[in-house]
Amino acid sequence: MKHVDLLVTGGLGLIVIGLAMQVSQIDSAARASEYYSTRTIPIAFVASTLALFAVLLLRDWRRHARAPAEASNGMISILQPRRLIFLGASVLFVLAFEPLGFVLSSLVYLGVTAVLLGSGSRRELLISLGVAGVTIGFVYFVVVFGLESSLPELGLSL
Amino acid sequence: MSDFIFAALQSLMSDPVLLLMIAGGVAAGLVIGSIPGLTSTMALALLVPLTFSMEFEPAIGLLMGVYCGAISGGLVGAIVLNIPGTPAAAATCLDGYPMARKGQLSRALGLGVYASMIGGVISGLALVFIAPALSKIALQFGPWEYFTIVIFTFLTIASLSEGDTLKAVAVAMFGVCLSMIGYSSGVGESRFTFGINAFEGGLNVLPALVGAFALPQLILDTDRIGARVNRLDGRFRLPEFMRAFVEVLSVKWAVLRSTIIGILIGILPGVGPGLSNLLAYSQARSASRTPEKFGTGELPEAIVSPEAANNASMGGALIPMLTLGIPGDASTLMLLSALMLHNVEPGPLLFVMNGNYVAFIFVAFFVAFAFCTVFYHLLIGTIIRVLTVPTQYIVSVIFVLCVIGSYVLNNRMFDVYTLLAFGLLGYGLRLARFPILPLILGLILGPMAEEQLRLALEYGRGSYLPFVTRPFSAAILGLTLLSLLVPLVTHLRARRKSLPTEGN
Repeated sequence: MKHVDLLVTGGLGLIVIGLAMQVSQIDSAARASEYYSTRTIPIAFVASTLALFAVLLLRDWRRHARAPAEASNGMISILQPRRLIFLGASVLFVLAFEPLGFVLSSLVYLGVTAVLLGSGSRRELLISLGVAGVTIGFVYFVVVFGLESSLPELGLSL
Repeated sequence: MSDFIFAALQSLMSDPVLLLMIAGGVAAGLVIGSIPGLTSTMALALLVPLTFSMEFEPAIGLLMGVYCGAISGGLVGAIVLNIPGTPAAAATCLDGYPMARKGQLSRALGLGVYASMIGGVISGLALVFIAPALSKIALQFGPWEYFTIVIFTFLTIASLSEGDTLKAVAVAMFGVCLSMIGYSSGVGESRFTFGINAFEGGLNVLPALVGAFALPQLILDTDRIGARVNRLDGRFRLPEFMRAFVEVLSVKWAVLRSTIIGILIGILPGVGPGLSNLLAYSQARSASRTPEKFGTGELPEAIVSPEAANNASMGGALIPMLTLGIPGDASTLMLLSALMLHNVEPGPLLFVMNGNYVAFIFVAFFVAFAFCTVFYHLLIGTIIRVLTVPTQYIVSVIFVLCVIGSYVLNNRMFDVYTLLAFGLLGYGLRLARFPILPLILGLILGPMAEEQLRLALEYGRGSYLPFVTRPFSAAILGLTLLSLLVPLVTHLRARRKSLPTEGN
């Protein structure tokens, strides 16, 4: 199953199936009204969504079977190196945001992505460090002094 | 309403901070909107979370400034780089860039800017006159009408949005299902939480919104890194720019026609400036005595029409958002979430209970356009220079701002994870050619749909008949059917026409 359409539609369908399996969590004995049960509307919405995804999956499957040459186009675009680098770095940044703190995680993320996505020259490294410094300073100033909020700091969660 | 408007104008003029917020929003919007790939939705996504601790007026003033600035700013990228800063300026490239290449950069920018301002101001007037009248009609609506309006919105967006209608409906319903996660005060039960405590409070709409719109766009923007850009080196000359105003007035009927198109398209859910500029351009060409000169950069109406239309869509899109709580496009979806962040519920009651808030929005809209006009005269040279900032610095800085914006909402990582999850989901959806707007619309309007359906069943004693027997509800259902049938019939007719050609 190479086709991105099928993968995404199937994935979303699986999530809806997961939600459908959670319907039993809703206490049907609890009566919200005499005209409908607590499960009525969630079941109606989930069932119609599931039906829509089933139709979509069947239709895309048939289209895919008719035109297999088109199948790999989506995969090629996913595997473009710059997209993968940015996506991977962004996921890592989010995961490191709390343990490393805002300043360190942002500095590493901004520096590394600018260098990896660009040509990787020394000039670019210097510019990216400058951009990172200005961004971090600006955000810190706005959030801490302007919004009077806080940001994760290194060692806070250790 | 007029009393509220005068009061709002008075308070705005006497408060320099409010004026500064609108001016700052416009400046930020103009810069972000002019950079290709950074849309008005992205600009609002960055700033909405940061307004959570502000009072209503400065927050909404800032966001109205960003909204007007970013949609308007799209024309700079379109004319200077031949890449529209926002989808709303797609048609502006067709004649704006050729005109600029002929050494008439200032004239092209002037035509676009003045037409934008005229279109925006007229649509603001339409907003001021139509919205209060519509809200009076909407006061008569019951849960049956509201539920059918939500269904109408989903199906209209599905049939009008680019691509596959079935995919749009499915993804909207998926959003509705996700909106049910968490504790429901309506039925007094937790639903779809998978035993995870963090899900009890439900998904926070704002990080989901920011993630779904911003991250996929940023990932796709990385494709532009290192790409050759056909940037023009022509000098900007202010007198030439200002002379374009007379030219805009000379094609006043084209401006007026495009403005009306923009307002009407803006009112329709799900389309907005992205479609109105293309439609206005094609209408201008049809109405022209020299249609063959379109695309050559000779005719002022070829630039004026799309720009008047896309700015006019803004006022139009605000009408259903304020009167019914139904956003016209992704940018108004952001504004709707900003209002909700400040515990302001859009709808007809907003006009009755909080007329001062509505009046402030109206006034901020006009003031934002005034600042736009001033900034274009003062800063356009700087805005043109900003276009050369390399993409590799922009994408990661914007993602950091998105993460910070989501985190500071509640100072919890769960919102940042929501941002990332919806970002990845949004990227997958874009690759598989699913539209993203219906997903978020489902997430936002899902609770409204559920509550109104419950109320309708309660008031109707379990009967579904009032949905078709009440005049407004039946009319909206009729419109819903029409919105589905018209594109279907058009598609079938086009297919029938193309069959003999294929056969030949």
